[in-house]
Amino acid sequence: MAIKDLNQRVSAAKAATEARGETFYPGASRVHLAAFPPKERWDDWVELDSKAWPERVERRYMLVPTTCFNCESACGLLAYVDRDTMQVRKFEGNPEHPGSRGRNCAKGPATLNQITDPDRILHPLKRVGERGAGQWQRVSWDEALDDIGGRIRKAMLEKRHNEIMYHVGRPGEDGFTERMLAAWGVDGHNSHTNICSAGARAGYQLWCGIDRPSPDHANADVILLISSHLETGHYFNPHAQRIIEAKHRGAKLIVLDTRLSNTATHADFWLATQPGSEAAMMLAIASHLIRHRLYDAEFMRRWWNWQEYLDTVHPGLDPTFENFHKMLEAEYEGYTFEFAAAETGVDAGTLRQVAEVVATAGSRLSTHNWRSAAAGNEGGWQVARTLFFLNCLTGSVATPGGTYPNAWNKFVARPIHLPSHPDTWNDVNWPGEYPLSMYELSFLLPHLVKDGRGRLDTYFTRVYNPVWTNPDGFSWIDMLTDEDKVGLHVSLTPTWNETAYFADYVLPMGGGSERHDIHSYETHDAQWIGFRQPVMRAARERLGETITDTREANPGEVWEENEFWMDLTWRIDPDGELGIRKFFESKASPGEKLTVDEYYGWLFESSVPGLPEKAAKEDLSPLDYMRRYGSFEVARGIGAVYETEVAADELEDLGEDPFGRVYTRAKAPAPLNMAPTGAPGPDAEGRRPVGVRVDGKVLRGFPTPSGKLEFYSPTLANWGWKEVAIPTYMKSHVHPQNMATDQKVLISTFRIPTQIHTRSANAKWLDEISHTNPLWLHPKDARPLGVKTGDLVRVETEIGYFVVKSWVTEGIKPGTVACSHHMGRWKLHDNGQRQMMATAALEHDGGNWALRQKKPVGPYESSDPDTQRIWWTDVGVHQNLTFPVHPDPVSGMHCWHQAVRVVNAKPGDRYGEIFVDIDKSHEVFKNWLAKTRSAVDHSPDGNRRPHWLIRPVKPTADAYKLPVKG
Amino acid sequence: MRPFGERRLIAMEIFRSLGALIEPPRPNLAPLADLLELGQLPPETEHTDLLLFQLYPYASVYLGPEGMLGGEARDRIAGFWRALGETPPPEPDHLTVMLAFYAELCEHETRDTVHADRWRQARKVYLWEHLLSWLPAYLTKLETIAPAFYRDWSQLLREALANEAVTVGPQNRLPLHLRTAPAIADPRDEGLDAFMDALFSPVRSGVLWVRNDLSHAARELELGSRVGERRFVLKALLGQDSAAILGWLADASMAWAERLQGDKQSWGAIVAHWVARAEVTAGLLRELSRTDSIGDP
Repeated sequence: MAIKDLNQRVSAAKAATEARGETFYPGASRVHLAAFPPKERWDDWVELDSKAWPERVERRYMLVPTTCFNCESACGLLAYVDRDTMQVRKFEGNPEHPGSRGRNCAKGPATLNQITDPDRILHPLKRVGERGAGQWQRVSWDEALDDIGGRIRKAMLEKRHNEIMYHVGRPGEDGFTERMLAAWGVDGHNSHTNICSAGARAGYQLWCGIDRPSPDHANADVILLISSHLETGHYFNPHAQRIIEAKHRGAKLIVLDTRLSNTATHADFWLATQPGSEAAMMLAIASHLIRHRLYDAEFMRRWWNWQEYLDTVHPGLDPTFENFHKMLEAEYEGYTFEFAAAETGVDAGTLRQVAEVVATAGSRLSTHNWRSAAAGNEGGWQVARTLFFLNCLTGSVATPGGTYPNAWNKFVARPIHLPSHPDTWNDVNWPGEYPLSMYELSFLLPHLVKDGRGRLDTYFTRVYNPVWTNPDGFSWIDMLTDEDKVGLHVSLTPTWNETAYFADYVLPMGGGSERHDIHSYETHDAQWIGFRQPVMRAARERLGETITDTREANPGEVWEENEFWMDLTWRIDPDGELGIRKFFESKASPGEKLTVDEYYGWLFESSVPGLPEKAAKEDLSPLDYMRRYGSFEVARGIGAVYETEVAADELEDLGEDPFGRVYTRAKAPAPLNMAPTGAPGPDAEGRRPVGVRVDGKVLRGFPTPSGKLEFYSPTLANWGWKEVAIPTYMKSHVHPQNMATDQKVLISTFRIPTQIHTRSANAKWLDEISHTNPLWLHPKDARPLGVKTGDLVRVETEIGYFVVKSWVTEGIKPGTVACSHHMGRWKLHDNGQRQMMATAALEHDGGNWALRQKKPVGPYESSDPDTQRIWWTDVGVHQNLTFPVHPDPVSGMHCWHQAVRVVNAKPGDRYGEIFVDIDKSHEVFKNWLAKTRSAVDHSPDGNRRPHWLIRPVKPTADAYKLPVKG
Repeated sequence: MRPFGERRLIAMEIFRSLGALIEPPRPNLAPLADLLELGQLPPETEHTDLLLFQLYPYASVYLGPEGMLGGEARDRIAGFWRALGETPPPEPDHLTVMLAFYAELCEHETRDTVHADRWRQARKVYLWEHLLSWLPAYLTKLETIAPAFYRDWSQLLREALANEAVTVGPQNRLPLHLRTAPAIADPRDEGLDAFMDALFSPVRSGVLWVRNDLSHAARELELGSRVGERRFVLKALLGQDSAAILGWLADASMAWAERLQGDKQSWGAIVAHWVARAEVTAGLLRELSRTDSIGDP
């Protein structure tokens, strides 16, 4: 047949196939530049069984989507459910997912290890004997729920709401539990934010009213990263793939990192800065842009609150932009390249080169900082603030290739019930010394309780492990073992962890393929939702079964949190008299318990624009659509929301302040998207802020008090921090001036792409790749000690020491040492997790605590033959135990970097040994507390905290009021 | 008669389907093979031997001066994507990707009528610079060693490319990367390693040597053949009888040049370039064989 005829034949066949909604070219074809099973074959996908090789044995799968639960990126997974055995055989990427686009990092497929871990917790357990004694008895869910529910009910009836606390690590969901607590009327939400991202959040929120960045890396011309943290560790998958795309297009990558991290190895400029000096570098770049007028003057004129700055700080000057330029130049003239070079240790010539590269980006400068320097240093919040300063100067805010406020690149749907605000303020979570903190002072809990500021009646730790993750873990053990301080500790966890050992109940919760959640994340300029679901439940429902309780489909008695909280709430308020139960009742059948099907069915049907229509095209209900595809893109190409003109029907009886902030009496339309943003307050007449007048038009602006980007922060100025009201450089607690000459900075927070905090100890593939955390030591620092790789060293902190192996490498800046997070897991008894947790002995005498490794890990017999193949013994050292708390006085962030002395191990020192004096750690807490400026002394309006700042659970306005003095 | 644009859009599907068929022959490719009247899919072992062990379907291997995967030759193709505002995939020089991309360029030309001329020019450049600069030689070699399925596949592709060359019109200048490809290295001046690197770089020597060629040589000359990478195998053969093996390679190069001559009519200057390179290589090998001056391998 002639070529022409063959063409026509193939084209016709393709058209006919695609008309049926199917994919013409088979999966794993480079024709699509992808390698995924076409979605129309997800019900019955055939693959050869690799284990049967060289025989060609076909296996038939049902592919069921879910969302990874191993970090917060919410990447899509496809579970391959074997149709013969009805077991999940593997997890791969979900090509329908807009954020991850079918790709995953190692942590995604390792979900299989977590759900098949022979050591996982399968049944509810109750403590027998002393807390921490390691003895447990299996109890029924009913027994546990009745006990916990009864206790919470009693506390509520006795108005002890503040004694109920829920402490969460990475939530992995958008707002379900926060609303649950609001429904309970409890201000007991406690997150891990202050050991994680509070510093960065402060920097971003003070600028733009939204506390997370969303860099559009894929479209950037210049990418500037403060450390490799997210791009190597946390958001690794969605960000790394987009950074590489940008690099393919020719974008320049600039990475500040003390270590030669994975990300740094891909950089055009790797800048190994002195820890804590990052803001100095950012300001030197800013100064260069200002001096040479390389900024976007029109963007700044329209969108910065420069008039407010001039009016407040330079009231004698005419409020012209030219005068602002002069003041700006003067403010930053001291930040020369030479100054920054002295602070950072990077030569001035290189800094100038970097500044010139940044200047070429125009509005395509994507920047990112999360944790790392912002989480390491006192004043670290200024690192994120000075970084975003560059976006604000170049006009690369919510532009293609720029950096977006995350709430515009995220979609949080309105739920079926929306409870009101609790009318109480929890001082233990939100102490008055930290009115500007970016969320709860969670890591201070043992110290605040020790000082008699409160006690806990019922304390939930939910997929969270403060004993291991937080600094000063011995103080946590000290608190958790004291039943006067913590009446009941309930650990909700998929796997054993150091905190669960000190619980009264250990309740097994599902992993990424065993639970319902809805999750959206800022991965690029789009809004999408991801659906996490129990895949065996979804698979069996696809085959026609009806399942009403996820426990029926999960292994053992493993449950999920949505159903757990619904059930618990009904036990707390069985007849509805507390006014709580109504938030967990069915709308379709009033008086009956809400189900997850109704909860998510309602949400997908009523609150996700475009989803019902898209589902209808495939003859599916919105819930079935999400069960089938696992994600939905709500919108893309969101663009500069601040430039949107406010609709005329929102403009009614307007008020306007001298700087153009516009207020209206028109009622606010119910928001479609509930992603958290700042909530600026009303004007004196009670009108709500609706926009900002720019060049005569009322535009949406930013959710800040001024409606603009707040170069000058009246919030900081009015709450006692006038001297840092504009982006500045604050010398860190580990600045060379603040350390003794024989001290070094310890970087303790760096991540690797193959482990997940406390969640991955039961992921055998990940454990095999990464299981220990030697101390990175530059040869120049190793030489004087006579230390070579593998030798033991003692690392002395303010409150104790740990003994660790050294790794001598040129991949770290001299004078700085580093030890990876993730490792050093331990258990006190032989039961528990055995792949990554050494058995240890815990000893204490008064305030002196010690942990010694008794038995390393090794091969063992189990239902998984791979546990006989464990070849590693060393699982690292738990360094965090030796860190005192360092709460930043503004953001509340724990400043992780430590000033340490690295010395040769002493005679008798053994690997993994840890010693801490917790009395000393309490003294350090007091020293840092003394740096604060409390709401009592500085509140300008009688509130405990600026009302406009984001707060996960926001109490009523009355609860915000400071108690009247006297 | 269909409008011109529509005709072109349909015509390009053959490139995608031919591209798909050099992926591993899994059962789901059978309908495609059927549509193109190529008969039953071959066993996977044939695919593996031909495309994973002998003739790697990557442009960079045949156009890069190193004769290896990746490098500047791959970047050049990726650069073509970028110049059109597209993000290149990880392997832009894989033949499946290249044919799919060619089909896409044609479709752009049909759909984007405002910039049709620009797309037409891009299509022409891509065809001559990035596909025809190496495929005539590649397909000729493939047809000499491949089993029936892939021979038929190759002839279909050859025919489809010939149609395209006529449709887009001739390109008068030889692609720059062919013009600037370094010449074969003389071992007497540059050493044996440099000579072998050049010999196994198709764009330099003009000859596509596959593993089996060296096995044949060893068999015919009754030399011991060692298992390994081609340079290693050749070194071992030279160590046994350098004059004989160089003579064998010279004959094979000439035979290769003559085989390519047949394509001159269709592809003009490009094939002439490959032929000329092969003839120079044959001459050098002949001289080295005669003088037995390869040195001590």
